[in-house]
Amino acid sequence: MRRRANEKGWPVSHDVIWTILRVSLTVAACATAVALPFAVAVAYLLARYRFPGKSLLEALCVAPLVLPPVVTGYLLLVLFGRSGVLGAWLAQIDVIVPFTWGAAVLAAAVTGFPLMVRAIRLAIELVDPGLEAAAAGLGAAPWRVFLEVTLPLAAPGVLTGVMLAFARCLGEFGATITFAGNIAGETRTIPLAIYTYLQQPGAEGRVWWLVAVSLVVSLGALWGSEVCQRRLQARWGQSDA
Amino acid sequence: MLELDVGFARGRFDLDLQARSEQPFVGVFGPSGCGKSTLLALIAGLLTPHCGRIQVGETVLFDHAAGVNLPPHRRRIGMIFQNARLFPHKTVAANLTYGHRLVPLSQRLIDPDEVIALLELEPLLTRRPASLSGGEAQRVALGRALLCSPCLLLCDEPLAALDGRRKARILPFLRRVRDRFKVPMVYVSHDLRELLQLGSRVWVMEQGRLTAHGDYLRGELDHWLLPHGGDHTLVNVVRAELVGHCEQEGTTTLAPLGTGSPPPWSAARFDGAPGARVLVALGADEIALTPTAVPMISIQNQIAARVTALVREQGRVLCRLDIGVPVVAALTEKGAERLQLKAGQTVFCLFKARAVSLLGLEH
Repeated sequence: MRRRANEKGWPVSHDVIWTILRVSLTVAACATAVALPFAVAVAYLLARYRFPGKSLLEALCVAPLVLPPVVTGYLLLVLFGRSGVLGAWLAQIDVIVPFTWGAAVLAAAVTGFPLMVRAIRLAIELVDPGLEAAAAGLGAAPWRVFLEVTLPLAAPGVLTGVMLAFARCLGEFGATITFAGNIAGETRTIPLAIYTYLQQPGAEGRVWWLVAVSLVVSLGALWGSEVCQRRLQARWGQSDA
Repeated sequence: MLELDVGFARGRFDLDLQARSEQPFVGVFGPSGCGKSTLLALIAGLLTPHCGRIQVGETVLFDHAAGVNLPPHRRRIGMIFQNARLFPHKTVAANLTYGHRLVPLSQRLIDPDEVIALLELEPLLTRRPASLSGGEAQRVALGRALLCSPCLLLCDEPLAALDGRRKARILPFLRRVRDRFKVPMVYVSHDLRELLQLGSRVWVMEQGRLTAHGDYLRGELDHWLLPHGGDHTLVNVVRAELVGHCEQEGTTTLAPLGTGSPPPWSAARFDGAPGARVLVALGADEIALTPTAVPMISIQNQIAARVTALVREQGRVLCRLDIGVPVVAALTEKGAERLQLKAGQTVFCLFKARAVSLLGLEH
């Protein structure tokens, strides 16, 4: 802290706010990036194929949305804890997940995943299979059809999914505090920090700062995705001539 | 060229069809829901037959017994659908070359510049599909299919979504493609008149079966067409050269392109330069027959004809005539009896100038 806060917690040290903001943004961005490939794969599977166990997969994908986040966090803890199925295996190669920055990313990714899958699946379902058939007829292998036709056409939906998941990750609280703890500089994101300062008498100033930061970040992300969305649509709707 | 033996079932619909064609053009004709589009999807590999064999040229695309089933992207079959199915996120130029760039250099038979010139696509290249009219989009789709140097071009009612005038404007492009690139073509339509503008070899499909096939002009379909004559207007599609216009009479004189020098026809005046090749239609119901020429009558076309064949069924008669070009006239049994029509007989063919309608310019 560069300057000691007065009794109202005002002005606030920039370092603290910056650290919290940095943790929040990196956790949310990494979580979104980690979830994206899986979400696209699962969404494509759900949108285009029928297979046994499909409804189970669907239920699993929605689960983090309907479960209390604390429960999701607890289940992650059970799974990745030293005695958990994955945790025991990871411990053998000296990887400990719980209560680390990675755990915060994982918790955010899992809770953001359902929103992402939902949006991307809807978008893929709206892509005309006739266009995919046309591409195949023109000599494009299935992976090429997916990358060059399906995915670009579903791009607005993918963008919506990314945006929703990113916002959800920024706001993630329950699963993070359960699975990743509240470690300053590592897993203390904006919501966790606000919660922490609310517990401390006289830290309302910091709380207000964080509220302001969180408003700016969320609205900024929303605005950014709107702009991207509009550009995508404009590109398809009009001629370049 | 094309050998088919396919069995396929989905729900209550089943398709069972054996056919082969050595001709560069086959028209597949039949009512909606008869399985025409399914047949094309089977050839293209978008659907898999339950049994049978499909061969195009030297390539076996599917053989159930031998376990061969090439995926669609390896079949080298160009497909044109009812709606153009252009990729909305790519420009016309990128759409055109989508398949072309995937073809190995040594197998590229068709040059993009030539296709662009032939289909008059130059002004459209930088545009996006959303800004194209239906006819323009279909031309781009045609070019896109051609540019992947296909062994076979499948056309699934490519004009069905267009209105009459636009149809007439796309057909010449299809004829250009047929004549210039010589890509074998299977063309599906429920409109006989449209098929006949491209070729006369027709497969007739009903309820997933091939019920008749043959050359329409040679009368090989007459036995099937006759009982169905009420459902489909029988029509003669004739290639002709525009000779000139008689402004006072309001007619255009045409010389049908056939063997020998067929006598000229008069058609209701339409625009066109003398010497132009045109396609005209003359309904089979519009032709009247008389044993001798009629001196005083408003009908302008009186052409001596030889009866080449007669098909009788259910009180209807189809009379194949040779007037330098083969034409067909539809009569009732009573009318045929009155003339005592026999094959080899000479009669006069009467039809009004207004009955000859312009389908389009040849090129």
